[in-house]
Amino acid sequence: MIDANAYIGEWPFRRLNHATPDALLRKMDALGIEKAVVSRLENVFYKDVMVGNRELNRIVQQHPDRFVPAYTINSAMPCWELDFKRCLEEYGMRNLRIHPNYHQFTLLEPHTTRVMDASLEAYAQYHMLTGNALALLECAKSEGLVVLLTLTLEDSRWHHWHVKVPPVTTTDAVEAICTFPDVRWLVCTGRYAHIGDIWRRSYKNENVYFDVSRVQGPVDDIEQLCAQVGAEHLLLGTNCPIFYPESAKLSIEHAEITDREKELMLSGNAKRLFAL
Amino acid sequence: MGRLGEEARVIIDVHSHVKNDHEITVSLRKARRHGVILCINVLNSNNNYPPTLPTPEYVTACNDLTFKVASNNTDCVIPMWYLNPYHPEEMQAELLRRVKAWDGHQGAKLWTGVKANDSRLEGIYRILAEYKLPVLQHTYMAVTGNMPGETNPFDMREAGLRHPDVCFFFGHSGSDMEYGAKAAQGVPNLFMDIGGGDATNGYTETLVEHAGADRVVYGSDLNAPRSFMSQLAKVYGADISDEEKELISWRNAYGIFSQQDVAWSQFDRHREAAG
Repeated sequence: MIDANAYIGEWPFRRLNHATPDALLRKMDALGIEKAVVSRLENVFYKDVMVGNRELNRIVQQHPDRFVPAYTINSAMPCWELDFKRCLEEYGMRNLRIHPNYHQFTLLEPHTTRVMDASLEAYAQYHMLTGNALALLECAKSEGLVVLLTLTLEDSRWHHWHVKVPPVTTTDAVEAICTFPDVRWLVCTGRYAHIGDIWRRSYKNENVYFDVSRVQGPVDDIEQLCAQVGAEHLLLGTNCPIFYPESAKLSIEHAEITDREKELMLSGNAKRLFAL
Repeated sequence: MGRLGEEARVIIDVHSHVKNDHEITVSLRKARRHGVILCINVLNSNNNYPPTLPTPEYVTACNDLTFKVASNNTDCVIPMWYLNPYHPEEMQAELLRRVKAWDGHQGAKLWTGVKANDSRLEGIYRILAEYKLPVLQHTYMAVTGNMPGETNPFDMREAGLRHPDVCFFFGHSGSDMEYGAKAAQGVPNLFMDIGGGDATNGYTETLVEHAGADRVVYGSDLNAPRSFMSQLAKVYGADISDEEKELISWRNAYGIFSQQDVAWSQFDRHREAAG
């Protein structure tokens, strides 16, 4: 099995199990996960993401057969291009992780008209910076990177009183995908309804993949997504250590789908997407 | 992949929903396959989100469907009668009528019409205590704001303390498990339902640490909109002992329903089927 969406590191709001490399490796061993695509969890909050990226590079060097790095770039920060270049040249970056909501940049082009309603009011919190997301994605396209677009880390209703971060909207995700249709996208932590929505509105783009870490219902969620999106576009991702990794694993293993579909989701698609 | 036989022989899910034929069919098929006894209540029989304040007639229609599902699937369904306490007199009559017409294990589910510590619930609580019916109370603690009438962990604690003779399933454990776990401390009639919400790492460990493993029960919040597996991950993925996992996955709920003087034939059949 290959976990396409995991992290190594601490979370500011509670102690996490499996936060360290050794703890994550033990968990992966227990669950039969051979490799995990990992980012540094602290980079969700660090302003200088290169601190986390440097640590991630060191960890991955120690376990090259187990960890596949996805480096984080924040295009809302000055000279992000230098961070990008350093990750490419020094760390050999092949996978890019972006957190538009936590890093306060938008994936929408400036001219895009938004329909705002009450539920999206909080969205303005991260829409206020236009950033250089388009330039960052242009770079990712030029370098042929896989882009891990993380919609959220955890349910925004449970956020800290003073750190309320709304999720990346499906509209943002669709806009980014449609603007860069040649980029290979892994959309992370989409719920059941989000995945179907993004898939349809991005015109079933063959370069779009989804992890199932936050697909946690209804009762036949995986079966329905295989029918709607196709197993070829769905990957085991755990969002560990924020989530229990057993959630995604059990959901796929016990789904009423074919062995072939399970194999694609558990490892085949990840091998192809990340060239493993 | 077959049933979850290696992890548990039988599972009791104290928190599940169905709202249409498709969900009923798939949920029951998977429940039997995995050895799950479903405590079911129908909140919306016409496939939509329930109204803010369901009328007594609406509630009765939902309970009619719950009764039908439970009657046709006695091997794996326990009905949880749906009540909107915004209409206290009508709901007391509805509950009494349902309880007297059902001869198996049963419980109740309170809609978010009023908070759990509201005085309008007094009559309903008396009936629940008399018949030893556990009651599932939705609770939530959203930093983005709760709904009107929605019970938060503080309200739940107050209700639990005020009604020590009523067994409460603390729905979603307050959603934000740290609030829920702390609110349940020292209130032995509050049982933490792990159902609903993302499979957040550390969720179950937090409940076990503060409330105790003997007061945590497995619930899935099935189809609203959760799945069995995402919520079972909160049991199987937790860093707790096998004995604690067994308490949570069925033993605690078994003990609660066993207070009703009803044979566990359905449970025994389930265990036999599970091998």
